[in-house]
Amino acid sequence: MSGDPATDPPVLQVEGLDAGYGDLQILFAVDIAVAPGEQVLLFGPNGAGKSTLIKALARQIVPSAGRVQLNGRATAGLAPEALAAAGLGYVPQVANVFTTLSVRENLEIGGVRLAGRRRRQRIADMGELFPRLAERLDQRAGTLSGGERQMLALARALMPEPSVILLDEPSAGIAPALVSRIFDMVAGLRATGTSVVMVEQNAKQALAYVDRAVLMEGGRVRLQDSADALLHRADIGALYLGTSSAS
Amino acid sequence: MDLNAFLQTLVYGLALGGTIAVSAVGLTLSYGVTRFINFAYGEFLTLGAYATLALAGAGLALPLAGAVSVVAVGLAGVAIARLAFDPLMHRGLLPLLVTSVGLAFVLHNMVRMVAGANPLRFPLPLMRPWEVAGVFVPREQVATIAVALVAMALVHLLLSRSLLGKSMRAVADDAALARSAGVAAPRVLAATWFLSAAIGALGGILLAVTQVTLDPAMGWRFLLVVFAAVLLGGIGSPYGAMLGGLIVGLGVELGATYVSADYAYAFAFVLLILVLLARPRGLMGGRT
Repeated sequence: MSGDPATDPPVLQVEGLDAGYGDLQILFAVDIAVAPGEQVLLFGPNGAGKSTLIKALARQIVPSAGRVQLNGRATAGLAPEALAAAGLGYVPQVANVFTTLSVRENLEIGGVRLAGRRRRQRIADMGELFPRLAERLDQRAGTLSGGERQMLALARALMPEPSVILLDEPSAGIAPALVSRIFDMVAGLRATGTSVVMVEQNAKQALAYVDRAVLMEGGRVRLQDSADALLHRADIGALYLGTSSAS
Repeated sequence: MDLNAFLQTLVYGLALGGTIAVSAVGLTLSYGVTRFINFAYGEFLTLGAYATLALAGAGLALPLAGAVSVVAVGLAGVAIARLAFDPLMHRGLLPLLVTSVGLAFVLHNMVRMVAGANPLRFPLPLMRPWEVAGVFVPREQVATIAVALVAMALVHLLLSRSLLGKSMRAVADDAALARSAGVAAPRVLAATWFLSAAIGALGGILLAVTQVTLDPAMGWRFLLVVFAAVLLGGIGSPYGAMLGGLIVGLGVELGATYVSADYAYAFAFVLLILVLLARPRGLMGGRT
């Protein structure tokens, strides 16, 4: 269900975005467009500004310049809850579930703007998508394992059927054996038509699951291309993916 | 030990504990969502008691006067918070704390100006206590315990069953995450202020019943005991506040009866210190 960036109107359009923390500017004139259903990986060295870009898109920090449009609507001035209502899901790297709430309550909060029947239906849908969560609906989220928390964070963000979901390091803190399962789940979102923008340190592995990737360095977009093309570029492999040749 | 006297003390302790527990829940709810301790909270207790007295004086039956007062003080709490606290919410804790202390004095003196400084009483009819197996159980104390139990059950239902209650718990858990998940934070904040002030008003009404009299400083004086219950239970935890309130109430009454009535409320703080030494985050700290 992935759209074509060349022809489909983007679901998320970022133009000339500057952002940072106080006086410290991290992002410089970032341009990115994400097509409906497209899965995009942001990768690059530490300090490249990947997580800052995700935070700026989620309006956890306020951009100092540039324009972001979600489904054709400018996001400037929108509060985070209004952004969620407009179709943006956000899964932060850490503290991404409500630890004192049960799994079911976390999902209910994800669907807080849905009508009661629809919310219950979506919780059932999430149970089918993540059977591990269905077994633990009444368990406190704070007692879940790292992998289960990531599943819950993803499921919570998916509850309102967002147009775009922003994932900040979904494999962080997860046992290596579970990382591919997390990426499988993210790749599985194609079936829902939800676009994904994901930051991931484990870029080499993540590239195998996404449609397109954006290389960031020094707060700027260095290049964008299809994931397949980037996986086969020896220079990218050697410099950014930790391989001596394309794999 | 005289068993009847002990049981009688327990009844008084449960009534006081219920009063403290209800009051503590209101304070801890607002702390959980706003992350600052509202020093004007005691004035919601005072306003609740005086509004009830005024409405009862105007001819309303006492329970109806109490119910109307609870809603009225809840609405006043929303208005006060919107005017005094909301504009300062992003300016750090100190301005909020100082404002809440100043607000406490303003409200306290407004009540004194309107109603006078002399202690007053609810127009309760004289009622013979029930005698149960040789223990005299005052009906006012039983009514206080019953109202406190119903109030705590309602708070439990709100927090565990309603979407509003779950949203309040989500904001208390992680406000930024709750907002990015779509929770309308301003609406949840307004609902929290309403509930906090309304529950405080109910606590004030129960306090006026258990302590027999009401005066303009009653809420301010009682605030310290309510703090003790909140901290003992674990700040920010409504269930901890309920438990803390009951423990403090029982401790105060048992200490007053068996050790010294002069130091009745000091026992609340002895209990608090002992619990915090063993569990620095309170009995239910870290849970909601």
